[in-house]
Parts: sequence; C-alpha cells; structure tokens
Amino acid sequence: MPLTINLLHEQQYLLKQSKRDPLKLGLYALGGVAALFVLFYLVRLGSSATVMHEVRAREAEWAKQEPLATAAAKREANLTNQIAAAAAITKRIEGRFYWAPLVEILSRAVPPNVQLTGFTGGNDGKADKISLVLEGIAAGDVPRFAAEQFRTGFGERLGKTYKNVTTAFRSLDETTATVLVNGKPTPTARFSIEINFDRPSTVPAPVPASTERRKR
Amino acid sequence: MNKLSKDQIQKIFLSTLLMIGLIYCYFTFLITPLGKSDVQAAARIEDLDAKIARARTAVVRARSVEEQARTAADTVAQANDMIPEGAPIAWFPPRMNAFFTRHNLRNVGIHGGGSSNAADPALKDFHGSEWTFEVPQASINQLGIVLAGLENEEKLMEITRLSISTQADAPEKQHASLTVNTLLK
Repeated sequence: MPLTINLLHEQQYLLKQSKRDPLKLGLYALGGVAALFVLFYLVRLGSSATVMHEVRAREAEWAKQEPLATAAAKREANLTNQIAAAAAITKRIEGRFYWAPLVEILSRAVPPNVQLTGFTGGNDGKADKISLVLEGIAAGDVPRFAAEQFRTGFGERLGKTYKNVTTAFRSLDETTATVLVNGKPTPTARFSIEINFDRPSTVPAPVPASTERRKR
Repeated sequence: MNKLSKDQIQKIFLSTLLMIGLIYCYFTFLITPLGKSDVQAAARIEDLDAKIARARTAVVRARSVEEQARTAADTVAQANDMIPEGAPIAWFPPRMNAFFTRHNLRNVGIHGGGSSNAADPALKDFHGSEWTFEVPQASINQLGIVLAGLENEEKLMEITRLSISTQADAPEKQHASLTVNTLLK
C-alpha cells in the first residue's frame, strides 16, 4: 500500500472549520428568520392598511351623516311638539261634552204633569262623571208617584245615550198647593233629582242648528 | 463526533442571544402595536357603524314624522285661525254677542275672561279662558238650538256649567247661565 501524504491537510481543515463557524451559521439563520418576519409584517401591514382605509371611509360617512342626523333630530323635536299640540287640540275638541243632545233628551222626557223649575249641570273637563240636578214640581193624584215616574223615565232615556246613569232624589216633598191638570185640581210635590253618568269618551257632534229648520 | 470548542460555544450563545433579541424586538415594537392599532380600528369601525345606523334611522324617522306633521300643521293652523289676534276682551264679547243676536237672543251678559291653564302641556302656545254667558230669557227649544250652534261653531269652546231656571212670572221662558272654557292664544 503506497503511503500518501496530504500536504493541504491544514488548509482544508481551516476551510472546513470556517464553513462550520456557529456564528456565521447563526447569522444566516437569523437573516432567514428576519426575512420571514419582514414578510409577515408586510402582510399584516397590508391588512392593517385595509382596516384603516375602512375607518377613514366610515369617518367620512359619519361626517356626512352627523349634520343630517342633528338637523333631523331638531326637526323631529319641533314636529313632535306640533303633532302633540294637534293631538291635544283634536282631543279637546272631540272630547267635549255636548249639552245640546242632553237638553233635547230632557225636553222630550218631561211629561205634561211635571214642570221643571231648575236645571244645573256641571262638567269640569277633567272629571269622568257628568252631574246634574233637576228641580221641579210633579202633579198627580199621588204626586210622589208622578215624580218617581219622571225620575225613572228620564233615567231610562238617558241610559240609551249615556253609560252608568244613576238618578236619586235629593228631596221629594208634597206641597199644599194644587194645580189644574185637565181642568181638575191636582195635588203637587216639589222634587230635586240628582243625576250622574259617565262622561262619554267620544260623542258624535250635535246636529248643527240650521237656520232653515228655525224658519219652519 | 467533534467536541465543540470554547470559541464555538461562545459563538452559539451569541447567536442565540441575537435570535432572542430579534424575536423580542419584532413582537414588542412591530407586531404588538400593529395588533393594538387593528383592535382600536375595529372598535372604531363598530362605533362608527352604530352611529351611522342611528343617524340614518333618525333621518328616516324625521321624514316619517314630517308626513304626520303635515296633517298636524293643518290642525294647529285651523285652531290658530279660529282665534283672532289681539286681546280676547276686545274681540270675544262682540263675537259672542253677534252669535246670540243671530239666534234671536238679545241682552246676553258676557262676563269673565279669566285665564286658566290649557290643561294639556302640549298646548303651551295656548291658554284656557273662562267666560260666563247670562241669557235673560229664552224658550227651552231656543236654548237647545243655541247650545247646538255654540258647540258646533265654537269648536275650541267647552261648556263646563249650564244652569237653567224658570222665571216665576213666565214659566215658558227660562233664564240660562252658561260657563264656558275656551282656548285662546
């Protein structure tokens, strides 16, 4: 076996050592990782820029919408006040208690043997009840009975138009005076009747008093 | 297997330190602030989206209210038209006198004019006014027609008290007293 001597052994060893230098290899690895990091950062920066673009678009939209919304809110507040005022006026007009139909019912309910001397009715606009007091004189063979008939008859007539009608005598006294009914002297009784009923929530407006009707 | 020399170990240690430093700086000074900025931007977008949606709703609602307000404006204008300008004491009694004269009722006493609240807070531009009408003589039919006329013509007026009494010397003629509350400006 021939003996060979490698005269470059020393040089090759140094070259090999240089290639395996841990610091050099570490710096290569570091460079590779840094490159990956930069790539990833650029991708993130891109997505972040998209988000910021969206923010700017929203801000521009908000800058456009905000004055419109403020103006709309002011306008709405004014209009809401106006609508509330109109509703209150309508409620006031339609929620009134109409006395004309009541007087009409009363004028039809009084029989010939009863004469009313007083009528007082009240409605304060806030109370749920309408109250009235009728005073008068009833004539008949049994005058108290005549007064009672008028009370119940008037109550029934009112009940056809109004709800929860109650009628009660405040006083009913026979008097010594007599009146002529069909030419016959008839005893009388003085009465006072208190009537209450629910204030109607909505009542149809009374028929206008036409001038033609009055001319006839 | 070659054993690592002391110099090599030092170099490996230095490389590891550099790697750790790089990772730390990358995440601390680049990635984390970017993440925070993204989170803030997302929150801002959410906030702005909600605000924009509310603003759009407000605009749409205002348009819808405008539709309703057209009828309301007519109602308020009609009510305003029913109330003449000037002091009520100057125009209200003559107007009522003319009404009663039209219904053949003369010498009707018109008193009052006291101010009261309009009852409804929505009617802040209006106030109530109390008046009393004294009708010295009228038949019950005449009174019924007058009441119906009053309730139809004077829509802002409500009769709050009605009192009718018979006169001793003329049982067919009644004396009536009406207390009314009307809406004025």
